[in-house]
Amino acid sequence: MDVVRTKIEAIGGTVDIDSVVGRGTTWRLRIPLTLAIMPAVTVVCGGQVYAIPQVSLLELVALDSQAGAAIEHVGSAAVYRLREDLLPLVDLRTVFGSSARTAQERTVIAVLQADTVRFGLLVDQVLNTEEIVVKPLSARLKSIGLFAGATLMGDGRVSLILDVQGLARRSMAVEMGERDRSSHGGEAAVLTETVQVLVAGIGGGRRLAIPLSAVTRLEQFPADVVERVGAREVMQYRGGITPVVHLDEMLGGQASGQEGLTVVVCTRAGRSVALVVGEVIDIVDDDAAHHSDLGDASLTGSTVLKDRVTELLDIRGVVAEADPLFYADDPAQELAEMVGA
Amino acid sequence: MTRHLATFVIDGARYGVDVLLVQEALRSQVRTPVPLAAAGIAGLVNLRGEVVLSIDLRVRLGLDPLPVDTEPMMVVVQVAGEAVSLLVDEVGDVIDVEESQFETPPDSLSQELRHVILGAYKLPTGLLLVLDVERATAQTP
Repeated sequence: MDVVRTKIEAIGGTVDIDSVVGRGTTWRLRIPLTLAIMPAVTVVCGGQVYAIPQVSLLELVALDSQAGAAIEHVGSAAVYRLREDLLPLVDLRTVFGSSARTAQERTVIAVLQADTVRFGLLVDQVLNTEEIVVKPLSARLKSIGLFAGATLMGDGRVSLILDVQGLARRSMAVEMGERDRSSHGGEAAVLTETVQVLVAGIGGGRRLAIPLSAVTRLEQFPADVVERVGAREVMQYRGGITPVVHLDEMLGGQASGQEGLTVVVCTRAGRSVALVVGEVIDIVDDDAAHHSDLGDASLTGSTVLKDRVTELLDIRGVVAEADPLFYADDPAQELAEMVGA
Repeated sequence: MTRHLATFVIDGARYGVDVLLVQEALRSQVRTPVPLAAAGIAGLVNLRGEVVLSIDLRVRLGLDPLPVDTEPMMVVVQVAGEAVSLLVDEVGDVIDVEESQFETPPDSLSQELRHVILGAYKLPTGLLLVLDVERATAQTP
């Protein structure tokens, strides 16, 4: 048990024991929801299961066997007409040098985004989406450049995680180079800024986007950790008192009424603010060009992410309201100024 | 001076590695092949939650690689702080050998094998070849 405790505490979790003589024992292992757990899609190619990180996946297109004609060719390069745009195709079997695909076989196109390029990866079958734990890969395999790591499947087998950037570099070197050149022309003007955002549900089907750069940790706590200082809600976190902000209530949503609290922790220079959300849904790329300025109090606007209207949280404003000294470079000095004023 | 060597059999020949390098020996597990990996890399196995690389020593020893469907034994060794599993036909005893029984490989041994086989202990039951595990598991011979 000492080993279990040491290991769990090493990753920031806790072990609780409740024991009643003659009744039994309850063990509670709390393991933090860290970002090393990655949402991924598992696909099959040549009888083996591979994982594709969800962040790189735009959509899946199933080709039924009669539609083999849907794959066309520009010279030797296979392409697919995806809503009137030509999507370059990369066959994972060809990349891995396994037997060629026959026209009758079931094929799925996974539309992937790697840096600046979009391409379709041909795989045999898509299994499902899973949260996977990323395991490091032996140094001897890194040089292949196609695998980002490995993971363990539910049945105990090892599956490789595909490195989408590496795949694109290997299969589409020419194309990436050309895209770079053309971007120096007219496209430079429409260069857009994308940032990764954490999408969280705040009850009533509403979704909220929080910039991932502001997020330090995701944690789960029981509801009774919340205590009070005056009118404020606080909790004890990592040996300090951290203000708690219920985002669902603050933004006029319904209180989730769940037993546990899903908390997004923002930490800067030793000061933390805990933002309570209903559930953590996903991490996606957010393109600033698609933002709408339609917003509300504590929001900077809204946008559409994964076909859902998502509210953009004014993280700076919300955090500063909970802890006015959060963004101060020298909290002690600013506090003195505030008191003096 | 005596040394303790863990022994195993590959294709009829007996090999030994320093017993302190050996973490465990166990039955074959399901291997996940790694596409495009160098020859001799037999795949990845799940060793109690750790992803461990397994290496087919036959390729490094100049023998034909194992057929995909065979179920060899695995000897897990620590190389440069990392666990690596070696596929072998049979796991033998840990035996004590005397330094006086050691002899360097004959000049007729090819340069490539000379790199991985350090020499042989002349035991009454036959020769025991000593492997340099680090070189034998390295990416390039």
